[in-house]
Amino acid sequence: MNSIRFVRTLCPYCGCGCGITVCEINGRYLISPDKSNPVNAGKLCIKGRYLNQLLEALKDRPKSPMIRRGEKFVEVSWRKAAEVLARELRRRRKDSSFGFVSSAKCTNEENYLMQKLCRMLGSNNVDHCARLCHAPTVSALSRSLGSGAMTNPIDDIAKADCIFVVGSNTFEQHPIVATRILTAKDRGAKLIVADPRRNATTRNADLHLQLYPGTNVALLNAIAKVVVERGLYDEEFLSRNVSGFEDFLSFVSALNIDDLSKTCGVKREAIERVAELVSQRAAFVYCMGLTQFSSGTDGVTALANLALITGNVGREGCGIFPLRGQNNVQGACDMGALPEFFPGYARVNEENAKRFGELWKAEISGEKGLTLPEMFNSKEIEAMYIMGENPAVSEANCNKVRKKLSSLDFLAVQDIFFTETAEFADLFVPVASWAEKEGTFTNTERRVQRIRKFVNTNFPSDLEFISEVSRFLGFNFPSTPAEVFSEIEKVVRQYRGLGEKIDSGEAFWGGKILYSNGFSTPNGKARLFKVEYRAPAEKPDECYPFILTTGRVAFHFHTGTMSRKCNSLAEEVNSTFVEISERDSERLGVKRGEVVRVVTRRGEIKAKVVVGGIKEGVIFLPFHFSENPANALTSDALDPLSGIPELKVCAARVEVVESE
Amino acid sequence: MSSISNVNNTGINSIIELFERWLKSMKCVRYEGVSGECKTVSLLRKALSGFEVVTSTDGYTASIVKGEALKFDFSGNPNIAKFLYELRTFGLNDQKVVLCRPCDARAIVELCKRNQLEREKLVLIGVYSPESCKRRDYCCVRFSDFDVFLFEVEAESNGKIVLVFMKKYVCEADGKDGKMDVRKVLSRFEELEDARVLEPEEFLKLLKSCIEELERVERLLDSYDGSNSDENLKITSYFERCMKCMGCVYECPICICEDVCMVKGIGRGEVPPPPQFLIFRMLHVADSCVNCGQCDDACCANIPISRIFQKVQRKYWRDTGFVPGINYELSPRMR
Repeated sequence: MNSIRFVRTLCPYCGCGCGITVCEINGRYLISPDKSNPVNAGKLCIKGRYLNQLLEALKDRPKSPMIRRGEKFVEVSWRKAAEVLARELRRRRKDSSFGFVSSAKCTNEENYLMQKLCRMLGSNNVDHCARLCHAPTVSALSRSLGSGAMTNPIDDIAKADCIFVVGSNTFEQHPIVATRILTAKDRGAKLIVADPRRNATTRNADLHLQLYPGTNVALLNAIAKVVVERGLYDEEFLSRNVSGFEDFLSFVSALNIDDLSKTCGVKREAIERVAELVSQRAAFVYCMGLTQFSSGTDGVTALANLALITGNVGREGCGIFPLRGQNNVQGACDMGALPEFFPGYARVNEENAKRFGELWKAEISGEKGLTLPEMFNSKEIEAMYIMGENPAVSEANCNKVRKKLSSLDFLAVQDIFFTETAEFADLFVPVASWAEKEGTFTNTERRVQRIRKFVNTNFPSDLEFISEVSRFLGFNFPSTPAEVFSEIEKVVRQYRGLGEKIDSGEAFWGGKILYSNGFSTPNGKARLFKVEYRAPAEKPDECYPFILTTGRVAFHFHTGTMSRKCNSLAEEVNSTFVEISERDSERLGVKRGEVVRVVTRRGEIKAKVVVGGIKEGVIFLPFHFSENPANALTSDALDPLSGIPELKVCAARVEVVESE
Repeated sequence: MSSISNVNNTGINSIIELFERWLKSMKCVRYEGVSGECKTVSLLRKALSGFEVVTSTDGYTASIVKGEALKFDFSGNPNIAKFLYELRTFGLNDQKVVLCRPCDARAIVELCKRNQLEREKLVLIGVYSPESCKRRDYCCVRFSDFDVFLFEVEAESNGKIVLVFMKKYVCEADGKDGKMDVRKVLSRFEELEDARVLEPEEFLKLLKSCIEELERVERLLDSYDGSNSDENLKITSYFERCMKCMGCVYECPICICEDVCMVKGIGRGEVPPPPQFLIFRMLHVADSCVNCGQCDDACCANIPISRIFQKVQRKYWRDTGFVPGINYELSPRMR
């Protein structure tokens, strides 16, 4: 008897949260875009197109948990693995000498349990990769507007008259968002892109601001100054909804546009043109090119300032759009997998600790935990429990991180594949992938959507495994996503009542548009903050004359754990490259395709030269390729407010490699 | 008789003439559905409940799926022609009732002509509603390529009605050997309580009021020459947009070469890929593209690929007399 079954679920890659339809025919799978999902409406980017190859790759993974015995790994049962992990955690409970790394690739339910487990053990040392991407969004937008999240649904970009993209290669990394930009452009909207590189996104821009990496604040302040000087600001909106405008006025009036223009490397005329354009109905789209700096929080704040003075928050067709890299960064943050926030962004303090202590019937610490980079720097951390992350490749200055990983007393890594990080593990636990479990993801626009199981497996899900661990610790967490979600609905304010809306596809927390009835700050008003430009931690000098910036390519996803296992994606690009401007390549005497050595104060890697339209004096490396990890070079200078490392700028030199 | 002569005739008279011919081979049922619900949907729901049905997937037919009366999930299927092809490669080759739009049907017809599908194993039920299709200005169809066609049109008095056309021979088809009883499917349309068979005169009267809409649908060869916004297409700027999402390759019902598709080798690792990427993409379905628009829908960059391609196709169609996707007797010239 033939069986045909359709399952509607989500793509596991980026924060767009595209729907896919899986058709199972006699045990084989056809994956196609879900035409009824409002996010992608029948479209998928190239990574989503090859999901069936990812399913194939899933067949090649460790079949059971493994415990390190000397140099070798020994297979054990999942139950045994949970017991060992519980024992190791219990041993360190007293002094909290452990760190939990949760995952933006896992479901809301799994993240909720992960942070709950950590907190019930008396520590707030739980963090996840949002620290490396949108921590500044949380710290900046929550103080400016009230919530660290995208203000409007993705569709609103299509309704804007101007789209200002800062530090996002949307056309390669979020093609489904780029579709909206093109829809707006077809209507006559203008696209402005601030990026040191010339790439697929800037090619479509009406105005490309080729700034130096790390100078966003200078650029955004300059634009704000022009908006104020020319009276382009929205006076009515400001008087009704925004506090701090008087101070802001005096702050910007003291700024000198020519100085700022020189700092960021963007001409004054361009800045003036941008000011005119963004004072229309404008959407402000940004990504890692605004956040991954030691001035990350300032950058996001400066952008929020600009959106506020032009009155582009709280209504349709405009807003602030932080694009999330992982499919569930938003959800993992909402669930409180952060050392400074309990679930629902309740700040970690004594009062909230008491509240959560009562809810969970446990002693909860009111002391802020360690962030991800802090864990890797801290001498106190002796054990780590890493779920679905690959810090050995993704963290800034990853050689240092690898040293820390190898010096840990105990490291448990729980992942779908045996990653570079797993090589350091004492306990490796393979778990079910997105295809093999149920749960919810919250996409970049705060839309909570369901994933559904379509592959049968004997691998436990992350949730089931955490639940098993909790039983050995005497906590007895629920072991089904439905039970956990109903707990989330009770505990996380924003998720209250969302459960019943999920199947309609319209389960936005906070409503479709945030702040249409005032801001979620204590006084109900948004606030403008004065942010001065601060130079990045490293400047080019004689020894390291280039500014190195990093990023992604269209064909791969983050550390390549998933995408590089898909043949068709690997066929497109499968090795690292360094992009150099034409002038610089002539000066160095290197040609396209030649291998050079890129060196910074922290390390060196080899890469093939690509000559491109990048700003002179700046070089670019993708960070997907673990055999030549760009993050061996990047700087781990931190943003004081959000703790994000400065992945996007450091000083580097390029050395010609003599042919071997 | 070659159908090309039909194809070249357009205008109201020839359409009426065509309809009169169809009338002889079809039964005509007028159906007034439940108010407050899309009538085509409610009609289909009643007529098809209990059968294994494969449907097309745009928002329109997807809404049929959501009806609880039907026990299968239509929503988000891959596009129907490609899906039928995939089912066949998976060894599922039994008889099926297929709900499809004109564009889907063209792809199915073309795949049949190229021996990738078996026409005799399919019962094609055409669905057309002016609002259901975003591309109706570009749509063409030969109603007689379907077994049943449901056509939703506006009547003068009370909003929309659905016209159902059936081929007589389908009604007479046999349902032995445990195969689907086609006759039973079709007779259901007549059994529906609100349905009644129209007198030919009454039908013609109704028809004339719909001529304008019909003209739009029955667009064959020549009508593609009508000037429209196509001339404003800025082809080169569209090439700059391409994000190489591969949507056009994978959603194309005609491009069944998938993993060996030559397009994949062009501009490896480049975004946007060189213009040759899209040019080759069009070239390799040059004689078979049915202009269904699946590539337009799948394109992350909103490039109107099929509209651009239509400009090239027109010339080819006129010179060779071969229009892909319509008329089973018209065989591909490029083989």
